[in-house]
Amino acid sequence: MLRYAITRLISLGVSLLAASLLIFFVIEVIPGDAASFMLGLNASPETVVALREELGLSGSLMRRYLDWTGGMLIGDFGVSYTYRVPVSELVMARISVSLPLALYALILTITMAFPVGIFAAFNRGKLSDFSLMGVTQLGIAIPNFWFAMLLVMAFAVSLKWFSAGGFPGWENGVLLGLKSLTLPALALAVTQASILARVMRSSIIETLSQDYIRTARAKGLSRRQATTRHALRNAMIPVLTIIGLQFSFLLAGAIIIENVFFLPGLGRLIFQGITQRDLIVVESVVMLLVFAVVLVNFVVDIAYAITDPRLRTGR
Amino acid sequence: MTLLSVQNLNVKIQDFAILNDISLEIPTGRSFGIVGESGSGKSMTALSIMGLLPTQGVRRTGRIVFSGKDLGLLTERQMCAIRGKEIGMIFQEPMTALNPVKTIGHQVAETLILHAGFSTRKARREAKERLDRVELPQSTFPLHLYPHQLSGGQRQRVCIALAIALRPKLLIADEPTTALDVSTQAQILKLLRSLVEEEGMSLMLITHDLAVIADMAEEAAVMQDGHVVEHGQTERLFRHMRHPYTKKLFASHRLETSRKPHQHRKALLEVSDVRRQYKVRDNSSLWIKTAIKTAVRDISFTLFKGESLGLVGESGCGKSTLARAILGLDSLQNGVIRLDGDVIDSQVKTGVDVRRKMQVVFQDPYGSFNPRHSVKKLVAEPFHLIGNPYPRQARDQRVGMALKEVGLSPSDMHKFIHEFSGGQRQRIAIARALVLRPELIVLDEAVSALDASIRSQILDLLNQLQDRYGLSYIFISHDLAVVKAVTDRVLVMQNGRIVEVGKTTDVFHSPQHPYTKRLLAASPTIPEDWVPTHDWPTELSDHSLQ
Amino acid sequence: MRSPLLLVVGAVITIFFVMMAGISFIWTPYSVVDLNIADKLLPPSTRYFLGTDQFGRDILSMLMVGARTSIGVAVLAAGIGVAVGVPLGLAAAAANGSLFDEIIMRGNDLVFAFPSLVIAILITAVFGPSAVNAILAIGIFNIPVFARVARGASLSLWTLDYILAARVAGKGMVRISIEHIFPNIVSLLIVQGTIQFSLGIIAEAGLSYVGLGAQPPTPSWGRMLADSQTLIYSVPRLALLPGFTIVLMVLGLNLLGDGLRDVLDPRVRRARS
Repeated sequence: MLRYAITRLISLGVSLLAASLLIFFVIEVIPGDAASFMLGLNASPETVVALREELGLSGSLMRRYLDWTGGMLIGDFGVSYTYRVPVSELVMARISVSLPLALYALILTITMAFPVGIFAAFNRGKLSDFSLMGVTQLGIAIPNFWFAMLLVMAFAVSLKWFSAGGFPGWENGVLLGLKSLTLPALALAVTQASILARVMRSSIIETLSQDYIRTARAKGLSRRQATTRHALRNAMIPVLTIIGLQFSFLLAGAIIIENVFFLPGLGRLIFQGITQRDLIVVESVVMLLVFAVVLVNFVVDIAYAITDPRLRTGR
Repeated sequence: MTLLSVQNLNVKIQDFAILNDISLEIPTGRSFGIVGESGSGKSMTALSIMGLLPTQGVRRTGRIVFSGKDLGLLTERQMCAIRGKEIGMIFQEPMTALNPVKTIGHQVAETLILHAGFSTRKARREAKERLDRVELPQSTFPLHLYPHQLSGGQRQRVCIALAIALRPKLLIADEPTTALDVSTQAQILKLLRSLVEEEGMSLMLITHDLAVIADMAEEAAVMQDGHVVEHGQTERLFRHMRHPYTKKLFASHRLETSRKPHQHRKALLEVSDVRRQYKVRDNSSLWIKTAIKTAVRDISFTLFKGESLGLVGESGCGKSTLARAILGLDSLQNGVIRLDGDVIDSQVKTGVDVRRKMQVVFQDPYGSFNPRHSVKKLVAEPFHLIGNPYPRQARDQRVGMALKEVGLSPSDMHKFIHEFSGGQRQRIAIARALVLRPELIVLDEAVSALDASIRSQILDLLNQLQDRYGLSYIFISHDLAVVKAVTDRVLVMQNGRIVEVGKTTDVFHSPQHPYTKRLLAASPTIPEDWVPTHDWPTELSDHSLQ
Repeated sequence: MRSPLLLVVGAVITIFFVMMAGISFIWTPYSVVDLNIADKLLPPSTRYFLGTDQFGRDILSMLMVGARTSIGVAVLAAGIGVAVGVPLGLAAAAANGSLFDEIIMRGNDLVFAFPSLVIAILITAVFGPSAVNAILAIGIFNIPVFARVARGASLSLWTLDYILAARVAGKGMVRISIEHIFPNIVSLLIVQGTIQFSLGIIAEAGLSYVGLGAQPPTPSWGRMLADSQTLIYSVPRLALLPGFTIVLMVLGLNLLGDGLRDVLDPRVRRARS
């Protein structure tokens, strides 16, 4: 198990290294150089030179990459050109909105999808299965930012249960913060929950046709016992893979949803970075998002090994 | 005393009759065999007794009385109480029969907890004892092992352990050894026999292999197309078989082929010092490390023109790897293989002239063909080797001829592979092998997936073709009876080495190497003297077959 | 629970939208470029079938041209995925276990670590927002999806005996991949293509919504939603119409994909017969 965890950890490191190279390369291929790009066409040569110095662009390619990655390792992401504050400060403030939002959405996804998927699998072919699967079809088809707008119309404008947007900050109470994240999280979760419920359902149905279920039935387990004791855990294996993928969709989706609800998260930061051509902010936030995704995949790999003994014990 | 009595059992699935009027009596403490070919309804009978038929669209009539209870009248809940407690069952495929994410101890103990209400600790203690009973001692097979850490034979033992955990009165074994090697099969059968003798259990053994029935069952029934065509005490059944189907089954099992032995002088294939090694990834290591596995260790032999050479051994002995090397599919690590004097090379570009002299027929009649190509395209595939010297018409003609030679119609070339049965597919595979008139055909378990009656037809066809074209065959099989019937010489392989070579009759009658002896002793046989008494002339029974 | 009926419904919806997009090339009820402030925010009528937006543009015309943008981006992005991903997947399967296979699969994992939106952000940060960059961003994300599907399906085919028979017949890896492997994974690729098509529609809408997709004055469904957001209280119609359009289009594609899977996937077919 430990050995497996270490191999996964190494592969996590390799992924991060490759991702950082890729991001660095994309930023490097900008026509001209980053300083003149960031300042636009009307900048005076002096300011461009000054910015070059500030960005450390005068060093070699290797040197700049090492400076950037080395800085990130100790939490130094550089200084934002437009905000004139360390990027790490900006990011820390924003991530305390985006990450809770994605996790909240993930929890909602799982709590909605599991019961629906299991219930539908148990009632396969019945009307309840048919209608639930119809609802998930619809859930998959709805763009989450539009669903968010519908939620605002219904719960904020008409019913006035929630505010239409904004974030009070965690310092005003966790519950209040969570409340303002509820509609965005729900909007994010609906699509992913629909997908997950369908995967869960078909995975259970697939597992139920396996030989070992027949063995379990021949042992004297009832249909229900055979399903809960032998099918569910095996059915979880593909479900875990999907959950891992979904986290990255939720995180990316959060970037868009933040725009609908005017939440001060990473999404808002990155779009401001783009419009103000603040490359330092953009590359750092992208790297951070990739880090989060890779980390979640690592956790999924570990969960995989806990579920499936074939991965943790060699022959 | 009767333990289980099946009376006039009929099963229909969506108006399609699966079982017709099945009546059986299984006495207490005896072994009862059911034999038949695939689709005869053997497994369906077993599942009906267990009450595990699919629920949708199935209609069952008739009575199944098990130790005084009519199982047809029981509720699902009452049936659950009987399954695993009073009737245990094991299946054909041990590799998938166990839950991969639970330990073997858990899976054996589950039966005990479920039916006997044992505490977890008591159940675990009992599970140890049961695993011991099936010869999986705790010292080497502790409870916390997972199924994937065991071999097929060991997994089948676990399946038996959990089926007999509560000492049921009846154990149903559905082709329990079909997926296993011959020596593993012998061990499992021995274990089953001792369970019947020592625990007073009744055994219902389902198999396609007459020899297993002869070896194991005191009473037996023969099934065909959902009917029991004949049943009775096993020895009497063999000696006085009445039904034409039983006779046919028996004849095809005997594999009395019309093969004439050949005189061989000229060497066709020379294999000298061939070694095949490949890398396997070692997953137990932290770093990507590869271990080198030697599958074939410096093997040499010669195959003569017009000869049939058998290659036998258990799974993993290297016989298929050797076949792939001969076919020029993999590169060698040592040695050389010559066909008709030319070196066989694994490179695609070179060696076209060598390649056209050899072809192959594989085991699986379903995986051997691209489902999207017509039979014409499939059979014509080897033409790739000779470029395109033929106009299309001449080519089609050759394909038609090849189909005719294997007993199909030239017009079959426009059909697709899914329109053919397993036996017909194997004929098409032979047609594909034949179309370029090769000198050598490698038959890799080519009849192993076929029912006995189809198998003997295909073997007859192969013999005829050999006579006609002077073909040489390398006949790879785990089935000793087949090799014995159709080869001139035989090679016995173990762990990548040839341990014995000789004339087939010599090797089978007086094996020299201990491994060969063990192999021969392990394969079940019908006693030599259990032959049908000739009250009924065979000609007559053949007519009644029509 | 599935029936050919759903396949037909999906196909009809898809064809309907493709036709709308096609017609928009030669005819739309009104111009989508000219602004007509005098007619702004008119409710649906016989003159403007679905009403007008805050600049007086005809919503039906906007939706028609928007269909063109959405379908164009999604199809081209799926095309990139197929054109690059499928050969990679086939090659990786043919070289299974080799370093080449390992590199391709690890590369795939790496691209998977960048959600398509993040790729789009990177690209727009450097090259500026445009429909072409949206295609690139979604297309890059599609590559590993198709590579994975192609490799996975091919791997199981490579173990089949007919591949060995083809090798005995002297055929090389490339030829076998083209002749025997590819035709047998086409149905899977079509199904996956439909799925990526529908995901592409949603992704394009999302990118346009945040301003990373097609730029004005080119209408797109996502932009229409973004423009409607400030009027969501007063004229909800502006937000509802493009939203329903997206949902309908994606629903149609998903039904089509599921239906095709049932018809084309040999595994499902075998289980049925």
